[in-house]
Amino acid sequence: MSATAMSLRSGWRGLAFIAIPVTAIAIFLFYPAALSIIGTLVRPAPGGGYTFSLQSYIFFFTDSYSLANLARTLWTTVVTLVLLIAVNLPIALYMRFTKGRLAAVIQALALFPMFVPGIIICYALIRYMGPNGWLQSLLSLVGFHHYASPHLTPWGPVVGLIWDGMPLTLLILISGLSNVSDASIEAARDVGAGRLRILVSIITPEITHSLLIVSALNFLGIFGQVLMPFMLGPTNPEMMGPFMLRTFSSVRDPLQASTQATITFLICSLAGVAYVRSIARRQREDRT
Amino acid sequence: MSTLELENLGKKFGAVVALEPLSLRISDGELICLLGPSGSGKSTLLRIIGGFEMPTGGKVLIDGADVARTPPEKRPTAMVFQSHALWSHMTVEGNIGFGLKLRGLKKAEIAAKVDAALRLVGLADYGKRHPAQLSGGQRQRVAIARCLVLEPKILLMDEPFASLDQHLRDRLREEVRQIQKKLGITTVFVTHGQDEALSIADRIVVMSMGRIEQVGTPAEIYTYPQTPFVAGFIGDMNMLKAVVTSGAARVGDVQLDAPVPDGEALFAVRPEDVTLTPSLNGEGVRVRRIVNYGPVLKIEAEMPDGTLWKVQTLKDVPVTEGACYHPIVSRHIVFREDRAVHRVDPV
Amino acid sequence: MIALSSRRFEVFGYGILLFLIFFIVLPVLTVFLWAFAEQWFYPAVLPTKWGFRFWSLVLARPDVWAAFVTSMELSLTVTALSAVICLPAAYAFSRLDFPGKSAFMMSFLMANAFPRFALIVSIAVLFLSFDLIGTFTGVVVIQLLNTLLLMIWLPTAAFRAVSREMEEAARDVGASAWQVFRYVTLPQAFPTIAAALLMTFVWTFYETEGAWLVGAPRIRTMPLLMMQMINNQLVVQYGAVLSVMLWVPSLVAILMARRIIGGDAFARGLGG
Repeated sequence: MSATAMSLRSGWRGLAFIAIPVTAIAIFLFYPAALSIIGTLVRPAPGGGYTFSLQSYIFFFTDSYSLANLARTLWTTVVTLVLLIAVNLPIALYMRFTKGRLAAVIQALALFPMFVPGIIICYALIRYMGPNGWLQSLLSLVGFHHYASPHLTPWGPVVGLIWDGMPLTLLILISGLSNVSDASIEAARDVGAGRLRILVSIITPEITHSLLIVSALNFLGIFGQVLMPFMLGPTNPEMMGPFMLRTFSSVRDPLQASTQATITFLICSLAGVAYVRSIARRQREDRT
Repeated sequence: MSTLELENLGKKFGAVVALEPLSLRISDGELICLLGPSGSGKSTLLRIIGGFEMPTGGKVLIDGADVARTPPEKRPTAMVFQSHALWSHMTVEGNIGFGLKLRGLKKAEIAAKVDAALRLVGLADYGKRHPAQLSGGQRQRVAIARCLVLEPKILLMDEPFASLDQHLRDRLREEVRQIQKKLGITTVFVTHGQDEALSIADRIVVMSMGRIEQVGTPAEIYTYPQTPFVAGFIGDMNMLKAVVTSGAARVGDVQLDAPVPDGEALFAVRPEDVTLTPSLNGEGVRVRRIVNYGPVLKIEAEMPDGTLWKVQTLKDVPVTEGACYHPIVSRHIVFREDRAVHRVDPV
Repeated sequence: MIALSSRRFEVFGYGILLFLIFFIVLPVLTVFLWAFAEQWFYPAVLPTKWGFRFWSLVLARPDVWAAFVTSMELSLTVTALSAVICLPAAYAFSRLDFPGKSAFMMSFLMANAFPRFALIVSIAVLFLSFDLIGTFTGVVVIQLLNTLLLMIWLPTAAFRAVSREMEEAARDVGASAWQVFRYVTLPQAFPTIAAALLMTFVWTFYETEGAWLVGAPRIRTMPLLMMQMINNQLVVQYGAVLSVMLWVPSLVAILMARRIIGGDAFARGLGG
């Protein structure tokens, strides 16, 4: 058994081992995605054969309801993303630079949503922040009577999505911050840099990769969300997720559902490309 | 009780030569150290002997039988790894007995052998523990017991003590040497520490850039290095370039005999082979620095042309910083074209 | 960082704690209160009558048991299939060398770069023509795709973390390639693999959107039943009781899993 024969054998075995999942991904992800995109563009012609048609897209972009849904989705995505980072960055910074009981408690609490299935989060939030919910009871106990519930307003899904996205965002940010060495910060303090200066000049450059990943992943996750907007948000206009679901299941219009999915693909491909490029670059750096 | 012979053993990784074809004979019961800087090919050579790398060409003969193409599990060799590589999910007993279990021995037999191996390395009562509950030194002992219990023909050790502190390393090294002598097991030991090699080995193989530089006893390697690399790698050495004319060369006011054809040559002088005698006329070398090492003083002296001399004397020899001395060299080696061509020993 | 742990920093920490209590702890606590409330009228701060009445009511409902059985069947099938498909691939990615390895790894990551639900919609459109909508098989396929990434990524990391020297040491004492895998690699990687299996199971159990789109109306899983009960707000407690009953065991399991995996592995798996 020579060295080359051995690596050849291991090569075939490797390919055989990954064949099934790769095929599954190809058949059930890439193929249907391609098929439905093509299906929205190429229609069977009345007299047999196929013709190219933008009909379904023209419908989407002239239908005020569809456009309102798209706008609502973009608004929710951007607002949630900004709030997620605004909330999690300080927590991540705190956890990076503190040890002890309080930090451990904060970490446990902040990662807790990871263990709560989406449907239970929805239920909990409805009972908590909904009209006549527990939060309102607690607030009126301390004399605050002007509580306006975000439930079934555009802010409802935002709250739910922040709940949902918090652990992952925090984990990636903490992982990024762990690249910042204590020594480099102490060196900066040594030469007289203030806290803000350290944040801007030392920490931010180190976590741009993490911020990019967090933004891309959350963008993809939020844009296509179904459960949160369905349970917590208003129905008119609604987000793309519930919209697609209703178009497919209730309206029974797979063509229009595919069109909506394709538009979602296109918009999300910006985030997707950013994500993949960022990862590819990271892997290249790891290798060298 | 076995011999190990390497014949024209070489290894290439693609176009990179990791090991130039080399031959070496290791006799029964001998402890050989492979010594060299990292990247010198010593670990590659050890891994080829153990079967973890396939040589590009050549033979590995154990008791005359070629095992160069035999996978590690079928070789009569056993390896102690740098990271000890104990299986953390098994107890100490489980680790040591694993190889015996694979060979299909009976439980009672395994228990007896494991017990004996544990006693050999001084860990008689530790069998039920897990590796995580042991100290670094104890783990390495278990790793040694795991090898010895299989009664291999050849024991291989890959920098086994590199992760331990100096004190522990010295003690374990001594123990390993005792056990190895007691069992008379042929051993190949890789290290990058010259102290380790000098103190433990029967013979040392100095390697550099995938080549054997020199094979010899510790005393030979230290006293008679055959190449400038060995001279510079083992211990402190003054390496001086000088031009030979009619059988001698001058470095400052020091004359070094060299009965070789005229031309440039490299001279190697050990610091302890230099004695300093007071210079009254201000010629010779000026002492820059004296560092006290207890029994000896290490001295740095400078010639007027800037050449530095490392000198080592016994602590009672009077030397003062800033004063001038004549260096007297009692032993030196002359190198030309990377080989030792002449040697002057003290009379 | 001793230099930064000043008093102001501590106040900052307590501020975060307060926020997390209001944002995370209290909503979850609400579910528990409702589960043990027989009567709770606004604006009472605590339930007006405590009790277990709704627990027996929930347990007596046949649709709850049917949904539970469906969900268990689905989760077990998906987890088993996922393990069979993914574990060899994970081993290949971590230990074998083959042409196109990094490209294949990237293609798995690429699946992350698509909006999940849009993908599900396009798969559902394809399923229409295969008559897989509303079938058990259809839901299994959808949920299987959801788990592939996790089940390849975590075990790959687990196999990678097994030290090469440990495997070599096993070969050295006489183990064949298969014995090395059986007695050293697999036991070493097992805790992480078990955690991945557990997470796959729990995630599948609670997966809502794919099951809804592809399974409805014939396949009714536990989360879909819960959704229905939450939306028909007649009896608030049903949702609460179901949540507590189903979620607490899974929480214990996942907490155990996370103890093994550690947060960093999650983040790294996603490219952070």
